[in-house]
Amino acid sequence: MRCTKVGKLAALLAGNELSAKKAAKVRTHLEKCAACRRMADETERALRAAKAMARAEEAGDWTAAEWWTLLKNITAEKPARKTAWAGGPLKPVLAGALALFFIVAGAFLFLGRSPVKTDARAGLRASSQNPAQPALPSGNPDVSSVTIVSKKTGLKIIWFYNKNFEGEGYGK
Amino acid sequence: MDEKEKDLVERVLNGDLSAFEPLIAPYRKPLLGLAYRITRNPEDAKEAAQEAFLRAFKYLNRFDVEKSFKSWIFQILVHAARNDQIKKRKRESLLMSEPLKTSALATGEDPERGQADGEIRSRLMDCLDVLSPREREVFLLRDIEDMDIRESARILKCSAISVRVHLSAARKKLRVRIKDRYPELLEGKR
Repeated sequence: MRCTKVGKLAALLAGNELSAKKAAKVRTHLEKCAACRRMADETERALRAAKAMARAEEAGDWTAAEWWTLLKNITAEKPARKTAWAGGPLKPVLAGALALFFIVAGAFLFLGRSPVKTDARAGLRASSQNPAQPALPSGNPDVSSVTIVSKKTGLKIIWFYNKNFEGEGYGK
Repeated sequence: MDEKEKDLVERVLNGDLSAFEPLIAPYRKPLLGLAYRITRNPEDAKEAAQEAFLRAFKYLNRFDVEKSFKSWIFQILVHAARNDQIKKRKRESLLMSEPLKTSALATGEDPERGQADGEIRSRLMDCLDVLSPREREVFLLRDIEDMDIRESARILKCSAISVRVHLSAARKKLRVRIKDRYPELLEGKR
């Protein structure tokens, strides 16, 4: 272990914050290195001195009158009340239930929508005599169609979609 | 959290306001001490501690009784003091030029004792001055308030690794400061 690393770890050794393994490594280095040993010793003493200074220090206090006035002012505020939901175990359950609801509702809305009503294909089929036209499953509500008509040429392209949105089309 | 504190929290939440004083009384001095060492001003310290008690009262229903009340209230205090420091920084140049106020010192009968306290206070404050705000918070929680690394990390809302890094840096800086200015404190028996 190098002196630079020991320099960092010795500060933690002073407060017993190192694992037994690391502490042993640092101590082994300290036994060999006088400079690091002196530095570690100073760190320990400095820490003790700071703690002693803190113990000896009076950080001040409220007088009894000030304290009770303070308490009176604090408790005059709107107090915290226990609520049915506050910190209870129902929070994650409720969140999960809401998430599930939104997923199901979203899926339902997405799968249930159709761009063009199936009624459109009935009129088209009646007017079309093209043998290439795919046979439509009559009365199947899962089939939708989209019609594209060229203004210039009059070409009509019809796409039929099944419920999986797989398309099939023909031109006229 | 011990049963007594749990019971006091329950009582306050059920509307018994008289239970609030015994709940916070044990933390009155430690909180004020920590606030003073963070803010380095007795008046700001009182303000921060007062704010911490007020928030503890207002948001007691958010406190998880399975956790430590001490950690929770210290966390509130550190954030209140930090906010106070941000405000203070705006008027820092003015306040830094003022000498340390001693109005909050425990005014003992013996004037010599007061003087000694003042001397110790300024030494500790002088040492804390070399630390960055985060280093100071970590050092105060771990070494002065004797909280463990995890608890300190929870209070400061940072990782345990971050606490270790700042703690190591803080102790190194402190050693250098004490060695430079107060070498007599490093002398004596181990």
